[in-house]
Amino acid sequence: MHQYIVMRTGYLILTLFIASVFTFCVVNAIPGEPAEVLAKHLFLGLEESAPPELIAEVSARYDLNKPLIEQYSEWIRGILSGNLGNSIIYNKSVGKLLELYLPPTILLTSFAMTFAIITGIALGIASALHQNKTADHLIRFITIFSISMPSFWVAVMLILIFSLWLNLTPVAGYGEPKYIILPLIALGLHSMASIARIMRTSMLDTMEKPFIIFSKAKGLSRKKILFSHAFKNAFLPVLTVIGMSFGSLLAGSVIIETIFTWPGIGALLMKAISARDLVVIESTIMVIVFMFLIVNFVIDILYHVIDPRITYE
Amino acid sequence: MSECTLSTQVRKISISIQKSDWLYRFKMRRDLQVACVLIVIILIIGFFAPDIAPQNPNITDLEGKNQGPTADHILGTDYLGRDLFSRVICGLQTSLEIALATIVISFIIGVTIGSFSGYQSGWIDNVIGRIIDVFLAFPSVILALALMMLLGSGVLNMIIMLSIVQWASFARLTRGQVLAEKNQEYVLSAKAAALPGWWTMTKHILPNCIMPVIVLATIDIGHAILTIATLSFLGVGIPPAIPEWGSMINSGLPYMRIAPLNVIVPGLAITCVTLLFNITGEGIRDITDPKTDNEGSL
Amino acid sequence: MNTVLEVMDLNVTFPTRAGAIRASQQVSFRMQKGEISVLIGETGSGKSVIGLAVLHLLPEAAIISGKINYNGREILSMSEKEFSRFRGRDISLVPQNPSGSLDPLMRCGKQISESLEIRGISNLKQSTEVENILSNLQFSDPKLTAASFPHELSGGMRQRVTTGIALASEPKLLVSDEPTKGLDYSSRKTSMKMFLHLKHIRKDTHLLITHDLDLARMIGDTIHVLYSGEIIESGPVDEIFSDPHHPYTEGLIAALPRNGMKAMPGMCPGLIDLPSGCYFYSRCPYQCEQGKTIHPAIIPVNGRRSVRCHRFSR
Repeated sequence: MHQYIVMRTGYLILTLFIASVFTFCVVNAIPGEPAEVLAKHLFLGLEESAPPELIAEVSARYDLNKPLIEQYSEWIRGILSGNLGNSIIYNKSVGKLLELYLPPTILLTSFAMTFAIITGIALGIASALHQNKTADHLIRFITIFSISMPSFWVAVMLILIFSLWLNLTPVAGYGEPKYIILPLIALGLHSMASIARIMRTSMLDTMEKPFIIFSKAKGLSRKKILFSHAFKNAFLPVLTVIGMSFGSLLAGSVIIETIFTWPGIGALLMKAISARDLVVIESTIMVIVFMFLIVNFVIDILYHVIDPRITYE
Repeated sequence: MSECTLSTQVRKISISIQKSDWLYRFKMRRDLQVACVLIVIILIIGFFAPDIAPQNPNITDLEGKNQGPTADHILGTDYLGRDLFSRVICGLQTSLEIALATIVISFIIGVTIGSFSGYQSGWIDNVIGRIIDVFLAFPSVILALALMMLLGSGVLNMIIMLSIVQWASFARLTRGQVLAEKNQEYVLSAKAAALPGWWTMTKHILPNCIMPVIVLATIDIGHAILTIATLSFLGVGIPPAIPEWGSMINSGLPYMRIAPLNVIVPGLAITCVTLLFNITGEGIRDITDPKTDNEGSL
Repeated sequence: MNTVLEVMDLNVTFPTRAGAIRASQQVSFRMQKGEISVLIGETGSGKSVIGLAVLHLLPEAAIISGKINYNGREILSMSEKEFSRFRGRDISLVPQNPSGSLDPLMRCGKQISESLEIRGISNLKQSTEVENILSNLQFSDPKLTAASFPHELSGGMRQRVTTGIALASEPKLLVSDEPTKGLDYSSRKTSMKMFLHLKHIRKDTHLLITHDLDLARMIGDTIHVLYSGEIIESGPVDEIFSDPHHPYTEGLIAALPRNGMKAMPGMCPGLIDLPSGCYFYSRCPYQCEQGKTIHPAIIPVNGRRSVRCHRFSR
């Protein structure tokens, strides 16, 4: 077990490293001289053309004229020593920015994930237990409909219906519980539906296994069969899907935060992209990738804890 | 003694039905037939969109902007007075064009790399496997956003970008399928017969394990349509002149209160098309994979 | 007389697209208290179906008719709710496929104590009771076995654990479905030893469903030979083995390794298109004239035995 965790950690670090190289290359290869875009953004309007002196000054000030390898190694060294560099447009250190913008994102994603997991599992089990009855058909329709809707449109529709037409919730904002309701539904709906669907399939699959029939022959009550045998076994594939949907949840947060003006790193990333604030783009992408990998790391370990059959090679 | 347990006998019968006769199972699935017919209709509409659309989707009319439904404009007009219905029809063309091209390209790349990697094993497989993992470690919209900044907007760039994002999931699935299939006895005997690797691969392994990849491709068409819409909603991807559902919703946002149809209709269109591909993909999986059959097994 | 189980005219049919599978036809037999009855037949003879019917575990698609009396009460027509009181309390099952029948995520000891819980044995006594049961089942280290997960045990050990689960509920009728199927030589030997041991110490009423003639001979009292869903011969174990009446039984015994492994020609007919005459006709060494067209009825011979063969109808 310990060996597995060590190996898995090594693998995590390797993936993070490759991802960081990849992110850095992509971000730095963005066309348009970063210094030029930046100069326009800082000192001029976007329509005007920047004089060469200004561009030279900007690139000198923000170390943009060094070779890419050097820039990359400085960035990584900075990360390792806890200094993420400075945002150009916010005039703050990236560490400070993350301190401000990360908690709202963690709050929103964890609420959305909890909502998705609880309702997803409940709907999935309900659907499986009423297989081919009205409730099952209804749940299946709702879930397949939910995975077919783009999350930004769900957000727009929620605002239209609940804020503009019914006046029940505020359009956007942050700070009070009422502000989180719409974003969390818009963000979690897709994951909820995928969890419900895999839960249903897995539950039906498990209910046909010989050990469930044997449990019945043993005289166990239906409740006992469902909860101490069927659910536990059926849950394993669901765990994998939970890990994957966390990724789509994080990606969704970029859009949902922008729509609801939720002050998280998704919204930060969108702003940084439009301003070509390279350090912030790189760092926020890495933070998102890191969160995704960590959650899947935890899920992998959990998988090993629940299923004794997996051997640690 | 002859070996024929009752249950295996029943299973044998049902498996032979399933394998030889997925057409029969297709005939039993009304919902799947309807979805297939609708997909054909959608493809036709998408192909002939400019001829079907009642009006030019780009003609502006600032006098009659943000109108509700009228006889001229059955779904009303947008903030520039363009006919919403025509724009939605033409948006279908944009989405389908990009999504289909993307899926074909990433399917070819993914299946080639995945089957090569799975068949080779050893360090080549390790390296490719790691690369696939890195691609999958990026939440797809994030990767797409970064790449879109790199490439700039445009239909062709969108196709390239989406293919870069999507190939990895095809590669991973194919690789897993090939790895599982590789150790089946028929492959070992083909190897023992010293048949060339590419021959075994294309003639034996791939035909036996390609079905789940095709299912994934069908579902991913819907997925691609969602990603296209999301990116153009965020303002990266498709130039504003081309009618696209995501950017239509985005431009309708400020006028949501007075002209709600401008955000409702394109979203419904995205949902319906995606829904169709999802239903079809899952339907194909049900009829081709005997394991998910719930009726025939004992 | 103390009749525990009486099966009367049991018919089980599975409708499939290829036609109706007649898994069991007109099966009748009775079991006395403490008796070990063996249903024997090759795979495909419909013997497992009878065991599952006794426990109400047949798939919903099955069409069932006939009567099954358990201690004087008709159980076949009972609702699922009524019958569930009998499972694991009165009647318990040693399942076919022990590997699939154990929950892979639960330790074996816990799976046995679930059966003890149904009997109302307190949590404190459960672990000692589990160890008792396991040591009766020829386990050398009951504590270790109880703490193991199913995948950590061998196939033969899993088989004995499932037997332990069935016995833990102290059933009044034990149904075991092919307990030695798929075991290697030494596991099979251990399982047979265990069943013999259990026969001596417990005196269970036991319906043993098997294709294993050695096991049947070792522990059985009465034997019913099945062929294509029908009982073709019944009687006390020693008599059947020493003097089989039906040519099929003869063939089975001749096919045993110690009797020279003489294989019977041909195959059992499929259960969908059964011939109109004697089902065994095409393989029968005697091939009497009536067998071609007339299906033989089961007829008593010498009081304790019965056989379904035209040669005995005179």
